[in-house]
Parts: sequence; C-alpha cells; structure tokens
Amino acid sequence: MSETVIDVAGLSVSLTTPNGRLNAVHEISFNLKRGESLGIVGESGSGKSMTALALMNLLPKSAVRKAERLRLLDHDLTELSDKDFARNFAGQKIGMIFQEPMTSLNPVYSIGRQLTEGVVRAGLMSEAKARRLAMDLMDRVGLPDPKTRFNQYPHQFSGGQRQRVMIAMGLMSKPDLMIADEPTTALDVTVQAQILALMADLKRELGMAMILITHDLGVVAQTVDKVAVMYAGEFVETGSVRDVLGSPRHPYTAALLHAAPELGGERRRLSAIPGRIRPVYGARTACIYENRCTLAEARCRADWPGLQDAGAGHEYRCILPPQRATALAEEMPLLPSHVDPGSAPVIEIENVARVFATRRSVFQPVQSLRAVDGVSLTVSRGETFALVGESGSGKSTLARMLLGLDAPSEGRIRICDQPVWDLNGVNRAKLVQPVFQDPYSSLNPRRSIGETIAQPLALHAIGTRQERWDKVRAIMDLVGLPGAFLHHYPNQLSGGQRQRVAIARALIMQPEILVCDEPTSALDVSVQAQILNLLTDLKADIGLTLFLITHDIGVVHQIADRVAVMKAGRIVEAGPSEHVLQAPRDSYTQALLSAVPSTARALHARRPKAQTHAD
Amino acid sequence: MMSNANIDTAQVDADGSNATPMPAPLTPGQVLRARARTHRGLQIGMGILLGLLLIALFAPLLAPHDPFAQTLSARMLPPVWSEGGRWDYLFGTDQVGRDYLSRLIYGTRISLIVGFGAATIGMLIGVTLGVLAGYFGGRIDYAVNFVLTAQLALPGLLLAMALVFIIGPSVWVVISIVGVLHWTYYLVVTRSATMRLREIDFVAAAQAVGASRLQILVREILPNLAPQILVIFTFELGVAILAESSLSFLGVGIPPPTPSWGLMIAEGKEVMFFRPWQVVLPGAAIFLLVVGANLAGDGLRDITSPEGRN
Repeated sequence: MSETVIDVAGLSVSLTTPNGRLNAVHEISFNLKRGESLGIVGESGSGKSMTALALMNLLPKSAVRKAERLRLLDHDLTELSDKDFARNFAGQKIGMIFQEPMTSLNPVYSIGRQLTEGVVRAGLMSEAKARRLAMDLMDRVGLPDPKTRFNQYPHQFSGGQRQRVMIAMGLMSKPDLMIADEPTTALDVTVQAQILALMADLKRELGMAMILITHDLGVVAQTVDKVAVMYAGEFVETGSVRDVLGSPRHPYTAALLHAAPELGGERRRLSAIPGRIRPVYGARTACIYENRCTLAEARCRADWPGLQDAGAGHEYRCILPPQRATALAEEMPLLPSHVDPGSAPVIEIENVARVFATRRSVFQPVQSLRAVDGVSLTVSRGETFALVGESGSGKSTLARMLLGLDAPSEGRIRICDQPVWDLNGVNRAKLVQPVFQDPYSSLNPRRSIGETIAQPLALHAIGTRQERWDKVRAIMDLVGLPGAFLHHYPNQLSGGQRQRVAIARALIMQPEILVCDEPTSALDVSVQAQILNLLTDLKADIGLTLFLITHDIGVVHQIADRVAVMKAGRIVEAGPSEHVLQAPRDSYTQALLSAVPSTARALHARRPKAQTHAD
Repeated sequence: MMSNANIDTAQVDADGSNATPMPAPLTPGQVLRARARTHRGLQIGMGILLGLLLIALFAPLLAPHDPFAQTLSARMLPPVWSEGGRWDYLFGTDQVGRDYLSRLIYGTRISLIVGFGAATIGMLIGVTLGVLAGYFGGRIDYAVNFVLTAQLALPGLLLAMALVFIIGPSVWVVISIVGVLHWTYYLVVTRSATMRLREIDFVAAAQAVGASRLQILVREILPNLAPQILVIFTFELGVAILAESSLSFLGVGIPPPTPSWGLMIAEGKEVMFFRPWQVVLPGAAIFLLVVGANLAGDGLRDITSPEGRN
C-alpha cells in the first residue's frame, strides 16, 4: 500500500495571452501513495482546474506544460506522446470526474453503453465482463437495481445519481489515480455528503490515489488526507489536513478559513480578503499574496518567498513569523446578538400555495404541481429571516411571490399590511426589492453601472436628472463602490463588485425589505465574506429587513436571526436560528445539518476519523 | 471617497488601485471597435456598402449622362475597352441609346432603396412578432408560429410576382411586397433570443422595480437583441436586393424606364450572345452589392456574437 502513485515536482503551466505569458500554474510539487488523497483548495482563478487539466493532458493548445518530474507509477509522463497518453493513460490509469453531472453524460446513449464503451474499446476486457463489472460498480456506488438501470438513459437519473454514474464510469478501468474536479459543487448538501463519503470509501477499498479539487474548505477537511492551498498558480501551503487547516502558517490560508462562515460558536465578523487575485505574468519577483495580505511588509515585495518547512511535510511560502497568521482571526469583532422578534411584522404570509398546471401536449389532461404548499410565515421589522432548503423545495417560487412577480394560487402575502399582488409597480418597489444569485445575469450588459442603479428612479420619473445622479453616487458610496464605476459596464467588474451594484440598485428605492435569493452562492469565499459583511452593515445602518433564501447553513448561522426550513413546498421547521441550528427537531433539518461539511467539526473529529453517512 | 467606514474591504476590492498594471477592461463598445479593426471581411463589406451608398447619393453628380436620354444614333455601343467603344460612353449604351454607366449608377439607388426599405419592413414585422412570441409565449407563441409555418409554406417569388401583377408594379409596391415576404429569419432568431433573455435575472429585477411589460420589452430586451437584428438586417439586405432584381428581370418588378439592375439584365438578355456586357455589367453590380452586404453581415456576426451574452 505504500507504492507512490503519482509524483509531481516543479509542474508549471503557462498560457500565451495578449498581455504576455501568464503563469497559470507555477512550480507545484506533490506526491501521493496508494489510498492517499490530496485536496487542492483555492478560489476561482487560482489555477486549480488548470492543474487537473495539466495532469490529464487536456490543456488548451496555447498552454505549455513544464515539469521537472511527472511520474505515474513507473511511467514518466513527460516523455509520453499525446497519442500514447490518450490511448493508455487517460481514462484508464487516471480517471476523472467533472463538476457538471448534468452535462458529462451523453443523453442519447444508455448508461450501460456509456459505462462499458471505454474499457471494451480499449481492449481491456470483453463486453460481457465489462457488463458484469459495470453492474457491480453501479451497485457499489449506491445505484439500486443495476439490471434495470443499466439500460436506462441519463434523463432518468437525478443529479446525484448521475454523479454516481460518473464515479462508476471513472472506476471501470480500475484507475490508479482519480482526479475529481468540484465533484459535488452542483449537488445539494445531503447528496454531497453521500457522494463524498462514497468516494472516500472507494479510494480506501480500491487503493487508489485521489486528487479532490474544490473551493470548499469544509469538504476538504472532511474528505482528504493532505491539502494544498492554491493561490495565483502556486501551492502557498501544503501539508496534512490537521496541520494546514488546524494551524495555518500562511496568511492566505488563515484568511480563507476565517472568511467562511462556520457553524456553531460565537458569531464574529467575517474576515473578508480585500482585492482580488492578481494574475502573474513572467517571473515571480515578490510574494504573490502581498497585495491582499493584511500583514504584508516591505520585505514581502523584495523576493519570491521560498518554501518554509514546518515539519511533518507541512510547507508554506511566507517569510513572516508563523504566529502572525494564526493570530489573524481573533481580531475580528463579535457580531451583536439576534434581534428580538417582538416588533411589528412587516411580512405576513398566510397559507400561501402556488400551483403550476402543466400538460405535455394540448391533448393530455392538466397535471398540477404544488411548488409551494400551505406556507405561513411572519417576519418582523429589522430582522434577518432565512429560508433554507435544497433545490426544488419551492423557496425561489415563494420569493417570486414575495416580490410580486408571481401571484399566489391560494392564501395571501401582505407586506406592511398591504397585499403585494394588488400593489402597483412603484408602491411595491418601495416596499420590497430583490438581489439575485448570479451577479452576471442580474445586470443588463448593455447598460452602464450608473444607469443600472438609476433605472428604478428613471423608470418612475422620480426627481430631476441631477438629483437622481446624486442619489446614485450616495448609494454607490454606501455599498462601497467607487464613483469611478459610474460609467463602467458590467463586464468590466468582478463578481463581488457586480453583486454590490445589484444591492445598490435594490436599495435606491429605499425599500423596507430586501429579498436576497442565494446572494453569495455564485461568489468566492473571500468575496462572500465581503457581501455578508455588507448586508450586516446595511441592516444595522439603515434598518433593513432581510429575507434571505439560501442552501448554505453557514450563511444562515452568520447573519440570520430566524430561520425556516423548507422541503417539498412546505415549512418543516421554523424558529430562532440558534435554536434550529443547535437543536433541530425535524428529522429533515437534522439530516440537512449533519450533511453540512464543517471544517471545525471535521478537524475535531479527526483521529479517530469520523464517518458521516447521511443515507 | 468612502464615507462609511464600516465597509472594511470595499475600497481595495472595488478599485483595485494597488494592483500592478492590469490592462483596464474595455467597455462593450470599445471591445467591438477593437474587433472591427482587425476584421478584414467586415471592413471590405462595409467599404463596398458605403461606397455604393455614396454613389447612390451623389448619382446626379457622378453620372456622365441623363440615364433616361435616348440617343438613337448611338445605340448598342460597346464599352470603351471593346472594339468600337467611345470615351463619352464609358460602359457603352443599350438598345435605345441610353448611357449604360449612368443607368448603372442610378440603378444603385433603386437597389439600395429596395434593399433597405424591404429589410426594414421585414425587420419591423419579424422583430415585433418574434419578441411578442418569445416574451409572452403560450397562445401568442402558438399563433405566431402558425403564421410562420404558413409563411414558410408559401412559394415566395411566385407570390410576389402574383401580388405585383395584381397591384401593379411600382418601386413602393416592390419594396412593400419584398419586405412583407422576408421577415421569417428575424422572427426565428428574435423569438428564441427573447425566450432566453426573458428568464435572465435582470428582467426580473426590472419587473420588481415596477417596469411595465412594454418598458421591459423596449428597455431590457430590445437593446440586447440589437446586435443580432443588425446582423440579420445586413443579410436580408442582400436577399431583398436579389428579390428585386429577380422580379424586375421577370417583368413584374420596377417598371421601365426606371434604371434597375434586374431590369437591365432583362432588357439585355435578347442580345446576350452578341452584346454580353449588357448582362455582365448589371450582374456584376448586383454581385458586388450582395457580396458587400453578406461580408458586412458575416463580419458583424463575428464581432458581436462571441461575447454577446455578457
């Protein structure tokens, strides 16, 4: 079991861009033995996917791979031709699982054919043998009744089941190394927990080495043995999970840990990481994190820091004394305790249902689907109310009704004692405004930032042109956007900045309530922290009521006063967030909570290693 | 710059001023201009269109003769480069002694008027129906799709011939009929694009601030369709010019003696084997204009679509 499966030293990938040679991956090194797993964590743009593509020889044409050593078992991968690698390694000795289970399977072929095709064509085994193995693996990855399911097509499988199929497919050729790129990001938490547990089990059982690429520290803490924190193309800190996440030496690792809202314990202000990743062109002459590091000193800019050894394979690239990084977290101020829900209700939802009538064709009977079913809730002024649920639970449908975009089929929704659906546009806009999940699609790309924020005012002809612009400037200041952005277009802004624009647009009508539908789930952890801090500040400064829709329990813990858990259109549990999160009564809430990957809990439970099976 | 000290990190995040020289991101307009600058096909196509537009505008200044003036003593003159050609009739004359170059120059006007006019009429019909069908869906979509299917089932040129024959030929009749028969492409593209746009969050955001349906269609959806519509417009320009030429050639288009390239080909076809330039010259003119329109359309598609979404 101690044979080294993959041994990488000094792996670099550079890309030719109009601005020069971009070092997307820079001199990374790691090795994995059988049964070991490495988690690569990093934010978008850190180069983690590029690393996976480099190992799989799937780099774009403009990319150049260089490595001092790149060995898989006894094979030197640097010497292989592309053709040779594709024929004998990709998909056979190295398996790969992608992020999107919905698009990784070809919809026109049966699952069975897709599972067996690769190995049969490569001549690894006979058709009959492949068939037996496929059914065996389907059983192993938790797909019941493999005999029937073998001949079914991808659309007959749910997202989680498809990811299981992808895992089974990756295992068909009994690979020595499995690379999983964000394998659970598109899945619900409860499904994610099952898939992660499955992958950990299979890895141990089959003696594979595994590389797990993710942005989620909780997932890493729970699933892998070793971790590498990636930033701007390099591994800034590597080591065992317990060392790196338990006592981080690099300021970036520390900042990342404290940027993610953690379940349990005191609620502190999140340590948002200012700025954004700076792409590195040409040679590295300074610490790459220096421009965002709160501890940076002049000597950080002098030279690219070498690897520091902290013992037991724990290495990091920072020249500052390691205690400094560890101490970062304690400085964040505590958040005030929750609002007392005694004050006047601003949102009253009474027995609301939304029924969708669907029919397959004109000639077939109408079928009704109750997306929201008998929901009653009240939200008090100035409180943050979180609605939690997995995809398809009806939470976004409820939000649309709350915004007046959709009429309830039954029951009624009143905001400040006025029925939302009967209000005209202007009056409704003054009461409730939305912030959407995806900051890339919530802004009209053809309109400048200033125009976007001023749009509600212009639409209802409120104030003169000058007054409107003054108001826009004031709001931009409030949400932390520099005035220079007034004439920029959305494509010139980063995700976090766009989300600030969306919040500014929502605030310009001075609404009572902000309905935030997954406001941070499309953002990186450090940016999520900025937006969550901003929402907390706005609530305190201008007395907003926040109606937050999310699947992220950490976010709920961080900012919500009260929480309701939704499942299949119904509220299964509601109450103050401390109570619900600490002592859930409903079995679904319990399952949901235990499935949330938590760094602290995982570290606490390490050695003896905890197993969380949420089946 | 920042009055609210609570918002800790915004300043650095938002302006990124401490970053090393990162190329400033471009506005959508700048991106288009930068792409246009390197797109040879677009430049050639736009150049041809612009050149012909100028010729049409300044036709009275450019034409050496009156395009209607018949000089019976100088009939059927060959172009200047052929044997017997004369320098005062550069491209020769037709059967009734009208200067061919002047007729070609004035013909540019007809082609462009018909092309732009018909493409505009088609655009108005197609985009309106497409946006309505795409945005409202349901019954409206059914109805529009039925009209579309019906339109596609009609033989276009035949119908145009019949209509012009019944109504009586004139420039405006030709424009209207060619326009009314060429809107399907607009409809198909705008309908599906609108369906996609309708689901995007910025439309919901506009709804939430109380924008009416009309405001959403005009302010949120149409600006995002503009690049696609422009591309189709350029293609339909070429199609309409060809349709006019075909109708004129068949004798149910622009009535003589108005100089139209299609009509000139029709008039020249009897002597095609003895005086080939009478067919070749207007044919080349049509070819040039349609190639220009298509190059411009292709180019516009290339520079707008790769990022079109965001």
